[in-house]
Amino acid sequence: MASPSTRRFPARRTAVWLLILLIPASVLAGVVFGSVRIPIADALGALFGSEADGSSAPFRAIVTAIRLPRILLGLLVGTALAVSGAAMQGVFRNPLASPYILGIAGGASAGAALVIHLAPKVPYLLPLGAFVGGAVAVAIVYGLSRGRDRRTSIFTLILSGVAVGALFSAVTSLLIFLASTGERLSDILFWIMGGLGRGDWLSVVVLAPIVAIGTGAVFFFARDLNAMATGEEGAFHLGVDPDIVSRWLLAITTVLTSAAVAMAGTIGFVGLVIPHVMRLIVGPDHRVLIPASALAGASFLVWSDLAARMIAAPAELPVGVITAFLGAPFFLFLLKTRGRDL
Amino acid sequence: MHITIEGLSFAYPAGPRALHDIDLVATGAEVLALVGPNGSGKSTLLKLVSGILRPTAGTIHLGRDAVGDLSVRRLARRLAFVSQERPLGFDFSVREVVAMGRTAHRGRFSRETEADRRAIGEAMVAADIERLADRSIRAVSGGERQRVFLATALAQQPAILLLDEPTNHLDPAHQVRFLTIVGGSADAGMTVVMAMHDLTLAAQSTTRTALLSRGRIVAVDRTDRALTAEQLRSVFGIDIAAGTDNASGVRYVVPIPPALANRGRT
Repeated sequence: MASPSTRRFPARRTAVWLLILLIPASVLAGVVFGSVRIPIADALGALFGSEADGSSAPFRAIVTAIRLPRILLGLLVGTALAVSGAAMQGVFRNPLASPYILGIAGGASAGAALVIHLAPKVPYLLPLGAFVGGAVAVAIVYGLSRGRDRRTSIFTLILSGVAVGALFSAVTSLLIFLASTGERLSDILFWIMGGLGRGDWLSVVVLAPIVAIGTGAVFFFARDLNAMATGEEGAFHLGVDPDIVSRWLLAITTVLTSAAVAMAGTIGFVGLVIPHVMRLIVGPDHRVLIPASALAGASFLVWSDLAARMIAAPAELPVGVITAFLGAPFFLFLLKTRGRDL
Repeated sequence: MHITIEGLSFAYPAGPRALHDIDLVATGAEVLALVGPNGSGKSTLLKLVSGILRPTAGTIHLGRDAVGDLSVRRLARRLAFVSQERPLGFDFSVREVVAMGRTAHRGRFSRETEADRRAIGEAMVAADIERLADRSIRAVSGGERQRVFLATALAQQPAILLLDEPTNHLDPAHQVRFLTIVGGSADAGMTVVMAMHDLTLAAQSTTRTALLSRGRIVAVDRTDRALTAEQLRSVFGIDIAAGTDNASGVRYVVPIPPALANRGRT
């Protein structure tokens, strides 16, 4: 199939295959490296061998109880953020859109901070509070920007997103100020900066179906997102109802992003930069861009988490610091070199 | 396919009425011009016919079906729209943009069929943009870009083509080329309705003209009978020179600056 895009983006096919192969490589690297270096043979033994073949038990314990769930959580959160970012950039026709554009980060942070403040000991309440906070923020933003004619203006959406996000951030700041113990303070801060340190099998099991279904659902709208690039009226004339598409995608990405944020805090830049970079490599067609972003986001977050664990070992940096340090300069570079063609 | 408009009125929410009691029929193989001052309702009328806006009163039928009864998808198979300028969010190739015209004809995940490829190819030939196929839509000139969007509309294989001041940003050569392509589509049986400001272009490239003023249709007639100095003076409020160039036989319709018009009268 010699479509023009493969001519304009010759690396498209190769890139997708490399991204697929990068996933097992990332998992293996994540398993091998860490505060304790695990030999590759033992790592593979722990991943694929049976209990009986005697690969060393302590390594096996580290891999299955600590590293593997953390890595899988990284893959899931990275996928969710990158796919949500690609969808939001498509809906808003703006490459500067991120999954947090409608105030999810602010809402989720406030929800988490509230839980840490009021009921820090109740199990599972923290991710639930974050999820609800994020969803509530989007619901407010969406409700505010729905006009009397029951249509939603994208411009109003963005503005309300900024305003509501700021309001929730103020709530979070207040809770930080009121935090009575150092432990609560660091809990809130770690959560705002984002990290995979809470990753356990339960979070993986909860998140996996959400990310699988959510990613599939976004991909379902890939063709419509292409049509949306011609503007709302343009999409309408091509046979795609822009109101229906954006409403569904807002709902899907809200669930995807809120769920990811509930497990790992508000990790920045993955959802902004990954779809962007993928667009440069595989082109703007969402039918390729969305799967490519999913794969790249997954690997990127696992490697970032690896760096977060290694750089200041035995201390652990919040992974959001790493993604920001990698993402922000790169983004500025794009802005500078590609200017308004971004 | 006929466009039949009966008793159409429209008001924007919380605004004054934009269109009053419009009756208008457009048929296949003609180019109908909508001519009138800014704010006379040309664009609003096109948006109503295309289904973007819903009438406050009255009906619009495309063929036998009321616009409001057609799904967005079925509407797009029947009717295409070329606007003044369209934003394009991302770095799609020219061919990808033209292929978007097939959206309403294709399954969500299906690959291009032979019919799709033929429609896209023919549209690109008609719009004379084949050599641009692999270029980025951001890397083509304004005139080429407008032809790309015309090709996208033609790839929809619509029975009805609506254009809202499509030649506004084009130089004279591109204007004429663009309208020649549009005329060819009408010759092939399409119903073409086009809002225009350039009266000379309207005179040259359309078969019938509807004159609009303040949301009402003032006259509908063969273009050469509609675009007369008297009619245009009553609609635009300034003097207009209309005539035929003896050498080429081309009709021209141009506004006369008030200072010159007064001199002519005295």
